[in-house]
Amino acid sequence: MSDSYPEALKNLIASFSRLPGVGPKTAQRLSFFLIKSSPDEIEGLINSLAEVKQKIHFCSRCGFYAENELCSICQDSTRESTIICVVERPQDVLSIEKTGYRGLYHVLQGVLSPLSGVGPEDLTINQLMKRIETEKFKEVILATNPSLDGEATAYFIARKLRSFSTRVTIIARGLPLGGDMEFADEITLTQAFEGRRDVHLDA
Amino acid sequence: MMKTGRYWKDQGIVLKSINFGELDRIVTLFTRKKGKINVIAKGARKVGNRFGPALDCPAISNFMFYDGRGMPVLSQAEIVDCYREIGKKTNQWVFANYLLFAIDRCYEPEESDERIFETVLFYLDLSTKCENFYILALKFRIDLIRFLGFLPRIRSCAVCGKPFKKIPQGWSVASGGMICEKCFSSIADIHYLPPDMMTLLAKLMTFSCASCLSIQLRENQFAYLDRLVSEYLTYHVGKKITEWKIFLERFQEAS
Ligand SMILES: [Zn+2]
Ligand SMILES: [Zn+2]
Repeated sequence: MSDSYPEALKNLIASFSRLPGVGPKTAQRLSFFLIKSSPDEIEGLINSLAEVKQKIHFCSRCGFYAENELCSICQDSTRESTIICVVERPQDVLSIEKTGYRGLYHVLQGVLSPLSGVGPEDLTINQLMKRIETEKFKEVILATNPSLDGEATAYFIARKLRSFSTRVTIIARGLPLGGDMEFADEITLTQAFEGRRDVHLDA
Repeated sequence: MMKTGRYWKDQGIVLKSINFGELDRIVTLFTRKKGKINVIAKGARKVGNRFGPALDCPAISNFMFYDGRGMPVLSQAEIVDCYREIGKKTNQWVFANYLLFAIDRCYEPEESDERIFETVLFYLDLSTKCENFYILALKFRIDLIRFLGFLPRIRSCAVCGKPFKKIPQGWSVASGGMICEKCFSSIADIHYLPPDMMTLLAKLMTFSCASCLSIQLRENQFAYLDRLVSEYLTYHVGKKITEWKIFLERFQEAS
């Protein structure tokens, strides 16, 4: 960053640089863009930032983003309440919502990682256990990331769920759509084979 | 544009990886030839990316790199083994992470040691067959101490160098081993080491890994040695090497 920039501009660039995925170049571009923006546009941005900080928190039941005590999904009585999908982060809920899934969620707020010092007490695993005790689910779907830590977290939870009669499933691992089978690694292919299912033909 | 980069190959194990930008990852590898290096894996955060599970800890792959302007760029990864199954067994998975944690702490960037590379592979393979992680974690740290070049002296005094006539009872981390009765009073960090612990330590240092696995340890004996070995390693490496018991504890189901 140039030393000759005014203090206020330096501070703005520094603030942007702290955002994920924003490097010094992008931080400068965003700052220059804002300098040229109209007062109304800036006002709008300031208000949205203040509002999001003030109003958005995590749903007290499932951990998804919420404006009230409960998120819009937990409040929706038309959702199927006997099925719960466990994900790592709130963003994963948005991805799964696009599939048309109509059950409930539980957000772990991360993944177990001995290397990063993240243990079960740092996630919402205990809250999940309490929900399973009280909410009478028929199925728990484990939808952690397909990383080894994600897998280990899923199996850690599955083991804790052994004492319940609830059905526990893990989402299929395997080939992503698109691309060429030739370039798939053997681990992904093996998992795709393990996750194969019967072909059902209409009529 | 002038082309300055070049391609090179090395076999390596993934020690850790952090997200970088929206799509990339910075991966720390311990490679056979170059030791500990940081590389950038472009597009590694996308589902279905070309690296697949090759960048999960503790995967081992044959990597191809490209010298960029900053960090080397990972261009290809051909998996040798990614130990996918250990995710299903918590203790095994935590143990694999412990190996990586210790290596990452004990080695500086670019510091290479092919023996330790082989040793990690050995312990990873062994950990899928044998669940005596308490012994494996002790023996692994002792191997690390050996490769780093500060194996404690147990046959002769770490201060005066005279061979022991009877079993000594003094232990000094800073001096690097057992201390004779004469030197006992001149050492600041002297500890009393019970004779049974001294014998067990000597066995762990001299026995092969297979023989070590037949050593019967009581829980309190393991706890003592676990602390002793981690303290010793921590002092000589200058970075905290957590005890195995503590590392594992939080991932154990409450009984
Ligand atoms: Zn909710
Ligand atoms: Zn002496």
